[in-house]
Amino acid sequence: MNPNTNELVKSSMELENSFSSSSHVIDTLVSEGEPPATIYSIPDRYNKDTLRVLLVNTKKYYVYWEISDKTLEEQGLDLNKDKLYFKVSSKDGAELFEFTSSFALGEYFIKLQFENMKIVVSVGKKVDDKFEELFNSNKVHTFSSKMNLPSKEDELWAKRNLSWTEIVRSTMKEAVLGTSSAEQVKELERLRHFTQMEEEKLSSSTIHKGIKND
Amino acid sequence: MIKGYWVPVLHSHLPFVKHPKYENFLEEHWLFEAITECYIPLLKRLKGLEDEGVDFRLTISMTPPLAEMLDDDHLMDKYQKYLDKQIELGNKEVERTKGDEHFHPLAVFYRDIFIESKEFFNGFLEGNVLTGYKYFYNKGSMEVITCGATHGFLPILSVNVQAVRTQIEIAVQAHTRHFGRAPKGIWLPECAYYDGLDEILNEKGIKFFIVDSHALTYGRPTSLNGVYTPTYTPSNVAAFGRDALSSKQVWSSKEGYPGDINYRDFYRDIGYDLDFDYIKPYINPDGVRVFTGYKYHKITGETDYKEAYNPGIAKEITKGHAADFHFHREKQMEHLSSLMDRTPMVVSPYDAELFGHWWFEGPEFLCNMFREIHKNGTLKVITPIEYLNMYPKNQVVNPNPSSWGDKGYYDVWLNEGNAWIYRHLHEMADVMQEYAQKHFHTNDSNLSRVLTQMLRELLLGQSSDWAFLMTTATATEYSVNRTKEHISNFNELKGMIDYNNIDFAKLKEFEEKNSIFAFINFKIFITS
Repeated sequence: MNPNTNELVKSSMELENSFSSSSHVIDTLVSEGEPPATIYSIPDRYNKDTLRVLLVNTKKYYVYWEISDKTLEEQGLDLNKDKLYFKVSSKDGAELFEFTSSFALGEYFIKLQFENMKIVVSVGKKVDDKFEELFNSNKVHTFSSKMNLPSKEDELWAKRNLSWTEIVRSTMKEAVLGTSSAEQVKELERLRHFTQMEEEKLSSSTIHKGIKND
Repeated sequence: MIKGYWVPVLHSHLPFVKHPKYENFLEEHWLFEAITECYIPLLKRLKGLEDEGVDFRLTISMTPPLAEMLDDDHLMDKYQKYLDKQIELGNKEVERTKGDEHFHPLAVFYRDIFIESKEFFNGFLEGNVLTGYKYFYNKGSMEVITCGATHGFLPILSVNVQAVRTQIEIAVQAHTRHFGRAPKGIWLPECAYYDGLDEILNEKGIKFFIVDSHALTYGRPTSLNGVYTPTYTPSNVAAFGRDALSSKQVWSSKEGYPGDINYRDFYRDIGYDLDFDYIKPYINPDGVRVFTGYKYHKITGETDYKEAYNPGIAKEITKGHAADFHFHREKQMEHLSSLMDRTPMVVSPYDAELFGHWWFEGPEFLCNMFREIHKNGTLKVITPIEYLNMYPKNQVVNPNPSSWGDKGYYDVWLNEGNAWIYRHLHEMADVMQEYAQKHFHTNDSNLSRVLTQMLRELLLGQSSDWAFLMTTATATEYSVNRTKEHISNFNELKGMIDYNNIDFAKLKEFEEKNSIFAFINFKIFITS
C-alpha cells in the first residue's frame, strides 16, 4: 500500500463539500414563461402491490408502497383497525428498523445510518404478535462514509493490455479449489483460465500482488 | 519534464424542450442561449487555437437530448429566427446608444457577436452545431463522450434494471448516429453511481466514466492514490475522480475567477433595464421580461452600483487567470508527485454551460489555459483514454454510491419535494417492460408506433432535470408540468392499447412534440 495514501485521500477530499453541482448553470439558464396551458392528470394509484426502498444519503432512505385491494382482501386486512408493519433488514437477515402505517398507499423517510451494506424492506401483518411477510422490496447497497483501506490481500490491481483485460486477483496463485463456495469456485476457475490465456498471449502480463509496476 | 497531466472535462447538457405548436416558446430559448453563448464561442476559439498551432485536448460530454435538439430541423429553424431577432435588437441598440461613449461600443460589440455567430453557424458549422464537435472529435483533439439517454438519474431508476440498460443502450446508439462512432466514455448523469452499474457500462462497451471524489476515497477498498489516478471497477471500467481544488477555482462565484470585478455582470441585462415598450418585441410575447444577452455592465462590486463593461480589459484578465490556474496546477502536481510513484493526473469537470453563459469570459479563459500549457511544457493536457493508454495498470476499486450533487449523494434528486415522481416512473418502466415483452413479435405497425411513443414518454419523464429544478425551485411549474405530461401521455397511450382504440391524431401530436430518438423501436427495452 502506498504509505502516502492518507495524505492523498485527504487532499482528494479537501474542499469537496464546499461547492457542488447544486449551483448548476442550468439554474441561471432557465426562466419560466406563462403558466402551462395544459393541466395533466396523473393516476392517484395503480392498485398493485409495490414496495420500494431508495437511497437518499448516508442517513436517509425513502420507502414507498402500495397494497392492492386484492391483497388487502386476501389477507383480511382492514386498515381502519389493522396496521401494516414494515421491517428494514440487512442481507444476512439482521433487523435494523421497523415502522407501521395504516395507509395502503404511502411513503416514509427513514432517518438512520446503515453503513455500507445491502438492505431490504419487508411489509407484513402481525398475527398473534408474530410478523407475517406479505412481500418485500428491491435490495439496495447503502453508502459508505469512511475510508476502507485494503489489506495486502484485498489490494487488487488490473491491467489493460491490447484488449480490455480482466482483473487478476492478488490471491489468485494461492487459491485452492474445492474448499470454497460454489460461487467462489466458479470465479476462481474463470480467473485461472483467464490467467493461463494471458500468460500464453502476453508475455508482459503479470500477476499483481498489491504492487505497482508501471 | 512533464510534472502532471490535466484532464479537463466539460459536461454539455440541456433537457429536451420542443414546443412545435408555438412560434415562440420561452423554454426553447434555453437552447438558443446556450448555442450562442457557450457552444459557438467555444468551438470558434478552439478553431482559433488549431490555426495558431496550439495542441489541446478536451473531453466533452454531449448528452443525447442536447445532440437530438441540435440536430432537430424545427428547433434549428427557430434558432435562425432567434439570431435574426437578436441582430435586429442589436441594430436598434447601436442606434439608441449613439453618442454614449460607454454603451455604444458595447451595443456594437454584442450585435457583432450575433452577426458572427450566424456566420459561423451557417458557415463552418453548416447549420448544425454538432458539425463543430465532429470536426475536433475526428481530429483527435476532442474526446466526445455520451451520457444517459435522457439524463436519467440511474441509481433511482435502477429498481428496474432494464430502465438503466435502455438509458445506456439508446445513449450509445444516439452517439453513434450523431458522431459516426461508439463512445468510449460516459458522463453518468449527475455523476451518480450505484453498486453494480459498472456491469451494464461494460456490456455497452463503455471504457471510462467520471465520479465525485468520495466515490473512490470511500470505495471498496479506498483508492490508494485518491483521485489522482483512475481505478478500475470490478467489471473493468475505469473510474476517474473529480479534483475538487481545480474545480473550485473555476466554479466558485465568490472565490473563483468568474467573480473578478472586471468580468461581465450576468444579472444586468437590457431585457430588465430598458423601457417596457421599447424592449417588448424582444422579450417573451406574454410580457415576461427575460435576458436578451445584451449586458452592458461589469461585476464592479457587491453592491447594485455597476460600471460599464470593458471587453478588452476582461479579455486581458483571462490571460492572468489562466496563468494563475496553470501555476496552481503545477504546484499541485509537484506536491502530488512527491507522494506517488507515477506522474499524477488531475481531472477537472465543469458544466459546459458555465463557460460563456454564466461566466461570459469562460471560453477565452479555457483557451488561454491551453495556450499556457502549450507555452510552458510542464503540464500536459490529455483525455482519459490517453491516460489509460500510458498507465494501463490501476487499482481495482468498487466505487461508493455517490453523485456530484449537494452533499455528494442523492438528496437533490430525491427529497420531500420531488419524491412523488418516482412511484410513477417506476410503474411506467414496469409497464413498459410488460407490454414490450407481450407485444415483442407484433406485426402491427400501429401498435408498434404506440409502444415506441410510450417508450419516448418514459425516457423524457426520467430526465433528472425535472427533479433537480423542483429542488432548486427554478422553473418549478414547468418541471412539474413536464413530468405530469409524460406520465399522462404514457398512460393515455397505454389506454389506446388496452382498449384497442388508437387515437391517431393524438398519437401524431405526441410523436411530433416529444420526437426524441426517431430511430428507436420499443423492443429496445427488452433487447438492451
